[in-house]
This record gives sequence, structure tokens and C-alpha cells, in this order.
Amino acid sequence: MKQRYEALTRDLDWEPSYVAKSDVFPHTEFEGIKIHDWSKWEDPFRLTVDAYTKYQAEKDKRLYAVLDGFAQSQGHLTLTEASYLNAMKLFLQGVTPLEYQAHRNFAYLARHLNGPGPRFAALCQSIDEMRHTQTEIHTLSNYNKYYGGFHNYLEQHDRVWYLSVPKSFFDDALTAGPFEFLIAIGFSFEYLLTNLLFVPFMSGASFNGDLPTMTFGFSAQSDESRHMTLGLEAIKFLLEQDEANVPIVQAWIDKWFWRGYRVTALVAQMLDYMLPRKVMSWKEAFELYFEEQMLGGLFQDLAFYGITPPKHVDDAIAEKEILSHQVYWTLYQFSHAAAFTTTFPDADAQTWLAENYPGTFDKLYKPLWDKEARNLENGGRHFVRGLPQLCQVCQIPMLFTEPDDPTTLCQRESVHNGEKFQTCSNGCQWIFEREPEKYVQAWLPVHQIYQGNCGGPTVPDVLAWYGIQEGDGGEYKGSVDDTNWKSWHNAADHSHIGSEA
Amino acid sequence: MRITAPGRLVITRESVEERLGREWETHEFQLAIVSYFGHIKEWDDDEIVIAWDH
Repeated sequence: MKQRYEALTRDLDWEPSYVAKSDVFPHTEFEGIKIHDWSKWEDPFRLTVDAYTKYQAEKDKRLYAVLDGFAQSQGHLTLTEASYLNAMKLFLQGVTPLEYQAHRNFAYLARHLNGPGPRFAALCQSIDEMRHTQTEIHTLSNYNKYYGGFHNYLEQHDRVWYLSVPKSFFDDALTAGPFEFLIAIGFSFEYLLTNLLFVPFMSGASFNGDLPTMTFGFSAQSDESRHMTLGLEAIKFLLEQDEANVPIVQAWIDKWFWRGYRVTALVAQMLDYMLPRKVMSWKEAFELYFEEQMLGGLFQDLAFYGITPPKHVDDAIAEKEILSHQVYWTLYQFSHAAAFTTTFPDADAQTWLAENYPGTFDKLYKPLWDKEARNLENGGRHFVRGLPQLCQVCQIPMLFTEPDDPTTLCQRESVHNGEKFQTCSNGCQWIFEREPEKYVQAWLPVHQIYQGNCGGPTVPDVLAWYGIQEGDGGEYKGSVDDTNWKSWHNAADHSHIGSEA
Repeated sequence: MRITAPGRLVITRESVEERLGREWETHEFQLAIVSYFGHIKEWDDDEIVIAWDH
């Protein structure tokens, strides 16, 4: 394996003789990272093109067999409930387009990194990310025949307010240099946060009868082990090459931990509120995948190089029992402008929340839902009619609270060139003030609506511009999905089901 | 199924082949793994080693 890898990967590289090496690889110096010996990059997988394609083809075969079987047997009817698919709508709209952007940037790294080892690893990852994009679309396209919210995810990713959270996160990484991208996506996203981001979606699928997504998840996650390794090798390689790289890498870890962590706010509310059959709480997932594995394992290893846990990590830990509640409470009130539905957590759901969040749910969030229960009794399901202020960095509505006080909204203000900018947290403010020239250019959906760039001044104008149709968003109970679901399950005559197939 | 080991975890081709009763390439491990945590230190024909460097 070792010899084959050497022969088929590294030995195919050559030294340029009639152009300068810096002209062939012009992008690997401006970030200040110093590399002395590219051959020191380790690739423990020792993957070659033939082995790579052989196993990837096998993974695809297994997945597509499941997709066919599920579609042909009307598998969508065996989901726990149609509302489960809100998690998948969020995934298709928010995450799938990121896979495609990852494909693009790893293709760039496969061309622009100086060493043949990292170039080949980046090439494999680039192809993986394209595979993930395509298989995610194929997996979820079956649901698009029967349910709302799936039909316009690509355009929505570029336009809709809550999707600007993952989009702007990835755009931030795409517009960084190659080494920062490696730390941003290869390390922080793929290693530090990947289990926290992806495993909850796939476990949610498994617990709610979504066999295709679960199988897709297994297929993609099996590539993830290579991606995690690339991210970890990247950071170790940079740290070992030159001591001067350490503070640069540390600052990137500090920035990208918080950027990625803020994106996981959408995962937190999904786990705790969107799944009809719960898997684990966000708090439990955070403790296992982040506190135990990363802080207890990874950062102990990186301490050898002088790397410390990310700045602002304590703020993230401090909000693990409040995050999902605050985010869902906001999404609940704005889902009339979203391509997913939300609903009031019923008695069973509230019992589960109280059991999993003994310190916070009954005290802080149950009173809010009690108030909403009274609204519902009086026929007044609450939607916010105004537009929220967004954080200049993470672009999430300013819904978070002070680290030491869950009843006071956190608002940080910075002034740049005489103009005021608002951020949601110490982490986002620190990121803003480190690179204000970058973040003042943010495309903030609310500002864009007010500037007249989003289809018009009224909510229906903006929703039309988002490509959101009747049945995509709003309240779940009584929605098109809910009504269809009930008629499919209650009707004595099932002959109309699957008539489109 | 979740497997954990303190510090070091080794998967050898021989022991997997013994249990499966057929030939097994270490690359096939990719088809079975759903998520992992740690550091893949070695991956060759005979074994996969997951262990921290420091």
C-alpha cells in the first residue's frame, strides 16, 4: 500500500524547470504561513485513484439501492410524521449547497497547494463533496414529490434570511486564503464540529423512519473520516513546519470555532424541537461531541504545539442549556417567512424538554409557551410581523442573551469608519473587530429587504422573491403537509397515493 | 454500535478476516465507519491505528 501510494501519488509530481515554483503556486505565501518541506505532509490513508473509485462506487451502489426500494414501496408514508421533514428541508436548503461550495474550494486546493500529498487528498475531498451534493439532492428529491419546502432550495440558499447564516459562513471561508480555508473548513468544520453538525441529522433520520437519509448519512460520513484526517493533518503540518505559524493558526481556530459554532445553532433547535421522535438533546450532543471529544481529547493533543482551546469556548459551554430554546422560539415566530413549518411543542415534547433541561426549560421557556398556548386558545397563533436586527457576522437574528444572564439580550456595538455595527456575542464582535473591512460588506437579508433589493416592500413580495409557495412555511398544524399526511393515513382508499410515481 | 478505547485503538486485517471468514482489505473499513473521533495514525495493508501523537 505504501509503495503503491508513493508510486501513484507522490512520484507523479515533478519539479518545474523553466518556470519559478512561486509562479506555479502563487497563493501560498501571502497569508504569512511558512512551509519549509512539503514532503513532510502525512497522508495516513495512502489512497490511490483506483482504490478511491472502487470504494466510492460501492458506497453509491448501496445508497441508490436503498433510494429505489424506499421510493417504490412508498416509504415516505412510514415516517414518524410529515413534520419530521422540516429537519430535512433545513438540511437541503442550508447544508447541501455548502457541500457544493466545499467541492469548489477543495478543487482549488487540489490545484494550488505546493505538495503532491495534500493536493491529492484535497482532490479526493473535492470529488467527495460533489458526490455528497448529488446524493443529498437525489435522496431528498423523492420527498419533493409529496411535500412542500423542497422545490427551490438553491435559490433560497442565496436569498432567504435564515439561510444566509450557513451561506455567509461558507462565503467567509471561500474568500479566505488557502491555509485559512484549510483551518476554517478542513479543521474547524470537518474535524471540530462535524460530528455535532451531521450526526444529529442522520440520527434524527434513523429515529424517524427516514431510511434514505440515514443511508446517505452513513455513506457521506464514511468519507468524513478522510476529511477529518485531512483537517487534522493540515493543522499538525502547519504547526510543525514553523513556530511562527502557531499564533496565526491559533487566531484562525479562535475565529472559525465561533463561526462554525454559531451555524450549529440551527442544528440545536432541530434536535430539540423539530424531531417527532427525539434522539438526544442538544446539551447531550454538545457534551459528547464537543466537550468530551474535542476539549477532552483533541486539544490535549494540540497543547503539545502550544495551541489552546478556542477563545470564547466558555461562552458556548455556558449557553448549552439555553441555545436551542432561544433559537426555536425565534424560528417559531418567523416561520411564515421560511420554507419549513413550526408548531407548538405539545405536552409530551414539553415534558421531554423539562427532563432534558431541568435547570432552564420550566423556569425560562415554559412560561413563553404557556403564553403562546393562551394565544392559540384565542385563535391567535403568533407570528412576528416586523423584521429582526441581524448580527453583522453570523447573520442570526439578535436573539442571544448575555453569557451570565439568560434574561438580558446580548447586543455588542462596534464603530468602523464612523458607522455603527451590531453583533450578537463577544465571539462575533471579536471576529468583526479583527477584520472589519471584510464584515462591513456582509449581505444582510433584512438590510437588503429595506433597501428594496428583495422583490418589494411587503411580506408577500419578499416571499415571492424567495420562491416560497403556499404550503412551504408557516404553522404545521393545518398546513398542506399536515392535511395530506392525515388524508393519506386515514383514507380507506389508498389508490391515489403514489399516482405520480 | 460505538467503540471507545483509551489512547489507542488498533484494527488488524487478520482479526477482521478471522471473524468475517473471508479476505478483507483495510480500505473496506471505509464502508463500515459512520463517524469517528481521534487521530488516524497509520492505515496500511495489515492494520489501522487510531492514536494521539502526544
